[in-house]
Amino acid sequence: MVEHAPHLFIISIILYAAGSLFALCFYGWQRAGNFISLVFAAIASCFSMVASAVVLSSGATIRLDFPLYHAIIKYNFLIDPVSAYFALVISVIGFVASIYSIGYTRLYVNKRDTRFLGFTYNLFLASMLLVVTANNAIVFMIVWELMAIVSFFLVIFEHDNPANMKAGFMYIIMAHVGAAFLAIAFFIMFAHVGTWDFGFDEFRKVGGRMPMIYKNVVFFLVIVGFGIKAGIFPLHLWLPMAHPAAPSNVSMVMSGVMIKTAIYGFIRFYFEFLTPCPPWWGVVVLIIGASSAILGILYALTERDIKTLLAYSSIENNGIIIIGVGLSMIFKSYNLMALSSLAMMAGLYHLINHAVFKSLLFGCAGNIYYATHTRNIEELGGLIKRLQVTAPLFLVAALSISAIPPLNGFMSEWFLFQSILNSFQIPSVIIKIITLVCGAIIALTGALVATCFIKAFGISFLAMPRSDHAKHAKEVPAVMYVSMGLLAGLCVFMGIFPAKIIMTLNPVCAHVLGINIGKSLVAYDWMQTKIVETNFTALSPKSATVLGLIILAATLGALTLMRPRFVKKVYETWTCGMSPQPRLEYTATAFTRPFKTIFSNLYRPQLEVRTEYSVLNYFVRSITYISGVTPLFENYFYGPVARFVLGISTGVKWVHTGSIHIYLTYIFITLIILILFVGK
Amino acid sequence: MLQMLIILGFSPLVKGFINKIEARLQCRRGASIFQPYYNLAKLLRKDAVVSETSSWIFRATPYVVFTSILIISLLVPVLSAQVPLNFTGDVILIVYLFALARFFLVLTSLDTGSAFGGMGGSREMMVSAMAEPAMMLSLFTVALTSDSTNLSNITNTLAHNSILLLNPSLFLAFMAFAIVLIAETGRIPVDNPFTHLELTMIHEGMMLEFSGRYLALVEWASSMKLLLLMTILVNIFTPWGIAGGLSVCGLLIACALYVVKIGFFAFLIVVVEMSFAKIRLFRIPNLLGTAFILSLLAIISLYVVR
Amino acid sequence: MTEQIIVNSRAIDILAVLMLVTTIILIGTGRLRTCIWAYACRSFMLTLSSGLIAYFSGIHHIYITTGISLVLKVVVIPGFLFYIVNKINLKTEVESHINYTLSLILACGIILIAYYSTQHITQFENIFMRHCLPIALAITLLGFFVMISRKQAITHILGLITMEDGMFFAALSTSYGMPLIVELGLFFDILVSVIIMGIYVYRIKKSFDTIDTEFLRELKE
Repeated sequence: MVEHAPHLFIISIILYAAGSLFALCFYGWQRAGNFISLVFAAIASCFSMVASAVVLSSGATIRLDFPLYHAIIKYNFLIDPVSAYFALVISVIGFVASIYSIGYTRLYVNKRDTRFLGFTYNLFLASMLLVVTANNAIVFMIVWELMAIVSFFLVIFEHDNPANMKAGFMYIIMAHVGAAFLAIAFFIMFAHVGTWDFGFDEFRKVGGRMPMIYKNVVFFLVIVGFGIKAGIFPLHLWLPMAHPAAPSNVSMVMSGVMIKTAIYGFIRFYFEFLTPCPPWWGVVVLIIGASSAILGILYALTERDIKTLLAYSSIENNGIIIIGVGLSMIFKSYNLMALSSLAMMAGLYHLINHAVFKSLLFGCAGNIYYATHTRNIEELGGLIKRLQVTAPLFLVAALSISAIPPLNGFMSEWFLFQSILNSFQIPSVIIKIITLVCGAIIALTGALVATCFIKAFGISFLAMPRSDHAKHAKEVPAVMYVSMGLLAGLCVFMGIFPAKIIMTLNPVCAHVLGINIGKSLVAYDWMQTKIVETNFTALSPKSATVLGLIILAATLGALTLMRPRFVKKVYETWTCGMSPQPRLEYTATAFTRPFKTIFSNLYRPQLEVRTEYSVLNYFVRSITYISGVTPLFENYFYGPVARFVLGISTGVKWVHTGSIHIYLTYIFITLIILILFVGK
Repeated sequence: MLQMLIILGFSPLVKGFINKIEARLQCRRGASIFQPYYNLAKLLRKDAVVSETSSWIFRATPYVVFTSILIISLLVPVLSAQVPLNFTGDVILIVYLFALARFFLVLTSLDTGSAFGGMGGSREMMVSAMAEPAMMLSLFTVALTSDSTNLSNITNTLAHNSILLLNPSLFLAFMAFAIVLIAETGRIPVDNPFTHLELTMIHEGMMLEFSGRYLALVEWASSMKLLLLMTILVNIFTPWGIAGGLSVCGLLIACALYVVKIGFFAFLIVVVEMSFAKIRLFRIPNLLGTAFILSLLAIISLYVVR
Repeated sequence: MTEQIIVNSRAIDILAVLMLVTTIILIGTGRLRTCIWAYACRSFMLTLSSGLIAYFSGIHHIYITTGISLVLKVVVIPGFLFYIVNKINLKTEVESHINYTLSLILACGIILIAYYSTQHITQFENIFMRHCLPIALAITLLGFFVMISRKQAITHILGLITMEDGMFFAALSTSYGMPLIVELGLFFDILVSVIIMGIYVYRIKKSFDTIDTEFLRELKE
């Protein structure tokens, strides 16, 4: 099977290209063109899923070297277990998103140019697959830039909304800045290779030879470059603007997969190119991850737009994955390879979990938008009776992201806690303490995530509708919730059968770190099912679930026996004598208000109450309550940077005088300088 | 199996005991110790009134909450250190099962569309969010002292090596866990369990709309939560006398000692309730911050001095 | 035999930790009387631990210090402070320059620094009384921190005697106390300084009607 894998991979790329071109062809029949391009995308995802699964199960490394040359650009691709894992994640989410898009893009048919959507969407998925398999620095940069540009076009798809244009603008600027940092990093590494070879294989050998000062510089460049893509603090500004602006099926892919390509970059650089790494690198990565996690969820708590909330939550989950990667780096630098593998497994497990439940969440948010045409949580409510299939799916996703057993979020947090507990084996005391504080921060973020998603689910779906949009919502087409149902099923499956996921992750860690701990992590219990165990304890979610179901059945049975004629009378809610109205319900802002007060040093909340009087000052016509949160990072970090750059640009403006003679003079002076220096 | 029945059966008794002692200390006669049993029996016989704005979540929550707490009762060693379902779960699973129960309770509080529910729910999430890091860190301290996160292993290790118990880190962890216990079960000084005013309710506010069978299940679950947290406290920090295996004689001794220890801690809870006033809502993070610092100190002193 | 030593040292460690906890309560509370009670509890723990150290090591002059400390620190000084507080009707709120959360975080940081800087020393010892030196250093630094961050003069006094407590405990746990004469001198010193400061506070309150030491700045002109 393994020999076919490269063919499957190439076929999937070709299918993506075909899909995108087909989308452009159909000018008249937009629905058909849309449908065909998305079907091509789905089939292509299936092919790449199979290819990556094959590579993962066999643990082999496959090279695809195309004998094409464009000067120094050699098109080399490499599918090793790391790439295969990321490709698997991309393909699974791509498949589900493509099916989902078939239904979702009905919103745009005949209103906007869906051919362009199909074209860019296929290219987007293809470029992400190429990013994780590129084996050459220049090819990597090309595909990375392609991914950024294509996603930019997807973000500004609804271009009549000025907020979307601003979001897209911010996104493309930050993506380019990140790419610039990456390019510098690649050039520094290239400078140490010696030959004219930009291949990653050469880079892997360079790490041992580079002097420490250069390695540190590359370390920081890579953190900034990939960090912008991953959305770590303080480089996150584009994420909460771009993800809500994009259409929901695109946000699904962007949030579920695109920001994970940055994690791929981290793994490639820190574990393969720049080995051996000193421990303080791992500590820096750990601290960055922890701060992104806590700040991401704190900002998510105060959001009213459901997609911005989900975007901040992506920052938080990415922070948790980075914590796993950072822990792994720390363990590796002390040569505790088994623990390093455990920590990396925790991080990668969380990666695929997040991809699944975040896509599910964005999909349900898309369903809500499709049904009610609003994203503001404060205008929703009572959707559980109207969107009867979407509601349980959103509930499953909210439960998974809050790490509630027996779903998949709990398993990855469990592994992360186990690796944090094992940190007592690290020799340095300060690092142990920092690791523990990060453990406490993870516990805190877990509880805050639960609050945030109780708010998101509770206010949007429960109680009474707060506006007409929500009152007239109808269930979405079947295609949309069937694909979401697939993801929800995956959530439950990955939570109850962690042993299978661990065995899938084992080859990845084995490849990166050279140690195979799969056998010691999986054991058998009395039901002869696989459970996971570490040196601390064992955990079997399957038997816990089975027990839970047995107890539930027993309770229901006992209660029914006691009183078979149990009657439920339906009556209206007590609201102190008034008839229940939507205005009496709790609002999303009020639900998280206690946190705004507790963390007011971070939020610096602003409050404005405006009262309008009619006729005399005793008759109030209306009272408006406006509350907001100061965007700290915008004001204190981005503001000065932007002003600095603008200041420099204004200062340098005098160079462009517009006169032809001056420009010719510049060319002449440059020519003379070149002649003088080259002549030496 | 036996311990599930014990927890199921004893929890209303513990609550009744606490109420009775409190009444006595307030110079009243108080209701009988078995009053919670009578309450539960009465509620189970009644029909329920369900709000018309609520959905299937409202009807499913009492069962989910009850079941998850019963699963926890199968994982916590009560009389014997050897829990048959040893491999099923550890301390982290227990903490997150409590989180499952809390998630659904807070969801229902938003379900009925009344403002009191939302207020109770948001305050409960605030208290539990602040309490969670302290609880995790103090349980980690205990886990690191006994090299396992599995509760029955911890109890076994600590029961046999009493020397490990005199560790000052464990003492700090004990104090942090005691503060978290008060916060999670909603006793004074965090939340008043006897209040009738909805504006001051935290835990009761979430259960406001339940009636009949549902209220019985949720109330039973919250008294079981109190007993379970106290059992964890007792069996981790004072595990003397717990039976090593399943012998009848050992179990009887363990049962007697367990009753004594739980009674003592119940008395301590009552004394704390009587001595302090309920603190203002936004001072609760201060109190829980102190608990967090205590647990952080516990684990740091364990690491540094190891 | 070794077990006996371990049990003894653990007992003293637990008392040390209790002292640390009462010091944290002293920093963390908002009410003045609770501060003074926390101080009284800490002095009681200190007395108990010095008594235990005297009992275990058999050095007799520590008994004398225990006795004096019991009388002075547990009974006289807190009593005197309560008398002052009642007599001049002070506000029962503790005012401080920085808010609660920040002071708690800083206290935690100070304790971390104390543990970190003494870990090199405690590593070379055996298991005997390992927590005592870091905790003693932490209590001294916390006393200094209380003096910096609080506004009222009563809390300044409490900070000063906290520092003295910390140094006393450090001397006690590592070298079984300083020579008796030095100890007696220290006690007397503390007693006199507390009495003087108490009278001082009384006078300030009478003149300025407040004991917020910020207002003492006005004396500059």
